Amino acid sequence: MSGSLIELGMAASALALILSAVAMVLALAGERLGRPAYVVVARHALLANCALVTLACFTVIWSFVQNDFSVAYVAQNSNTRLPLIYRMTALWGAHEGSLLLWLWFLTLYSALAVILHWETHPRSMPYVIATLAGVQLGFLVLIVFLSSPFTELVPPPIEGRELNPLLQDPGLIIHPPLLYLGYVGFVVPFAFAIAALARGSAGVEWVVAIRRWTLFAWLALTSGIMLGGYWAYYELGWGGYWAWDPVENASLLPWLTGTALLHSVMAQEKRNLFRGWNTSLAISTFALSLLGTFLVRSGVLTSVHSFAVDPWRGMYLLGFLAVVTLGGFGLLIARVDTLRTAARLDGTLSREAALLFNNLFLIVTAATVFVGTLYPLAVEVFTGVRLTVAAPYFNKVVLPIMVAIVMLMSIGPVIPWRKASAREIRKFLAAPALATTGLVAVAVALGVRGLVPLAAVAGMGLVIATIAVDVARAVRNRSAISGKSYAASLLWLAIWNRRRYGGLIVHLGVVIVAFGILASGLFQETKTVALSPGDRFEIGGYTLTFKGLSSVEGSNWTARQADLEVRQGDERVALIHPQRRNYPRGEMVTTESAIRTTLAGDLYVVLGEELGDGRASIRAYYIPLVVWIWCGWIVIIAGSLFALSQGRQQARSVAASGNSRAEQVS
Amino acid sequence: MTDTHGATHDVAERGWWKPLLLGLLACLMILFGLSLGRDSSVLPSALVGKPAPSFVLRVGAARRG
Repeated sequence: MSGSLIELGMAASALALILSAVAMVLALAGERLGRPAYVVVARHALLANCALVTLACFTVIWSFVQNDFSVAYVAQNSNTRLPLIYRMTALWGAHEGSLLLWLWFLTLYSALAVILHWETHPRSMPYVIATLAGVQLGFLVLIVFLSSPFTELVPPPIEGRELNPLLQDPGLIIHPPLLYLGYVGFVVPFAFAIAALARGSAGVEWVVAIRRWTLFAWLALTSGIMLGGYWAYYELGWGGYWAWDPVENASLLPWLTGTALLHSVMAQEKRNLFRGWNTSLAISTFALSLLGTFLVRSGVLTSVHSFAVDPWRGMYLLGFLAVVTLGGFGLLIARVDTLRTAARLDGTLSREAALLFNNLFLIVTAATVFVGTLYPLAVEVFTGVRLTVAAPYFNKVVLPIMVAIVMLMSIGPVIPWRKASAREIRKFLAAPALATTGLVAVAVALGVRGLVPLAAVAGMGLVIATIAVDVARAVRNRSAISGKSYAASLLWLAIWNRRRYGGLIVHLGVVIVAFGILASGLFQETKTVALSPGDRFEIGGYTLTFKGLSSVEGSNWTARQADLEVRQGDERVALIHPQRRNYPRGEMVTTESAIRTTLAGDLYVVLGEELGDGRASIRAYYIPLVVWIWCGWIVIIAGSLFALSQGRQQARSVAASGNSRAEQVS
Repeated sequence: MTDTHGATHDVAERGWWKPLLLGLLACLMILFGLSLGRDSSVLPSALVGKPAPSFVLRVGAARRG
């Protein structure tokens, strides 16, 4: 029965492969030959693919749940003692299943895009369908021929091996899906950009279509990256959340270009500016998402995330990446004449100029991270020398640019479109600048030193102050017009323009994240001690007393743990238990840090080696204000969801006006 | 005042950026192609194959804390 189920998954994937090829050909043929019926069939094929790949995913997940070790992928990544939740999520615990999850999200996005835009963007649909089907085809070939999770083992083993113990964690249940949801989500803006170029109509219509897709993908990618950082923080036991590892950098690249796209589309929507730039950003962002997948899956980079090396799979992914990148940019080059616009940038003191600078900073950051990540690869290819570019390079080069971006966040959202006078801006900034000066003085008094940290404090203060002044002014005006209270006016304004106010909330979230990063980096304390039972030490205002070592056992692991009593003054506040876990099936030891979190800071304790006679080495950190990073992330999620909730009605009316404008200028 | 129409037109007319862009992308793909097949899970040791630094052991009394 199980064997036939996994065969059903394989058959569904094979059929999906054929349908994706059919959809791609029919969509293009329908457009070229003027046969709308062909496009309708292509649409149905994409919808069917969603159902087929969902079925294929289900067969693998069910095989995990049933401990069906006749499926090679299940036998390699699960065993009967693995908790049910990890058996269900083991689908994305290794290479083949991760690619299947990628594909599943791709088919879901594709189906949703053709359903939601079938009536609103009929002229773009043939090219959108062909592009989405083409990307699906690329991944289906990989899954069916090179990375199949459906391969069977004859005879099946009695027991499976082990899911990577580092992945047996709640954070990892949702980190990869969110990351993929972000990566794959950029396929819709990519498909609309290709459609706009192919049609020779890169006006306002396509940017209206991609606005919410881009924001959703950006939100998912942001959450995936943040959750990955949070997981690394509490699971890996080194007291940090971001190591500038090549694979981390690979996820940051599409995030940076996606952030740039999210901002620059506003200039096209409002002023029909940056048409070529936006199409190139949409192509780059998706290409960088694929690059991230290629770098992780091909093993070309030395990283803690590296998977087993398979040159054929790597070669195929490289070919696919080349087709998407060269094809996308090739089309852009061929259609560059259609991107011309009569719109002008009226002045350097304007919203569109601020967006231009925002994009410039983000792209310079992306280029810096790109070069730092790939430099070791180039050096090894040409000289044979292996080296790594570590955190000091990225911190030195990237952080100052990020501070500049935060600075720009203060003025960008409040400066008017077209042209503002220097006098107006000076007047507006007077109060925020005063408040910021006060904040910087407080920071100096608290011991913050150095140009970059103080500039970051100034940038954060300026963002909060300008948002406060801008919102207060709008509320006052609204209240004067409507005669309602300030609270009612604020509510009305926020609901009326959710996109703008959602954006401001996101900016506040970014400031909170920046605050957490800055404070936790500047004032961190670390101690490594060797303790006998009864010994105590102090860190971050806490007194820790070592009570001794004990053994504990889980369903598929055993552990040694240190029992530590935590006191703050005379009060006992916690009993914490950092562990070293042993997973016998996977022959792997993991570190489980013990963390006591408060808004003021985290006490973070890791158990090191046992030293005999009941003694143990303990490494402890006090990381002030680190929880604000995760709080800021929640604010970013709230702001993004609020902005996403802006109805489609408004977007449709803009799209309708944009169509005629686009046709005039094309 | 900046005329983006003019700027786009100039860039498009010059056209030098087109082969440059495609060339850069092609070089990148070649770099990736040349990098395939290496085992990225192996980290080179900073010590293996290097001579040990010379040092002299001092003779003295040990301290107990």
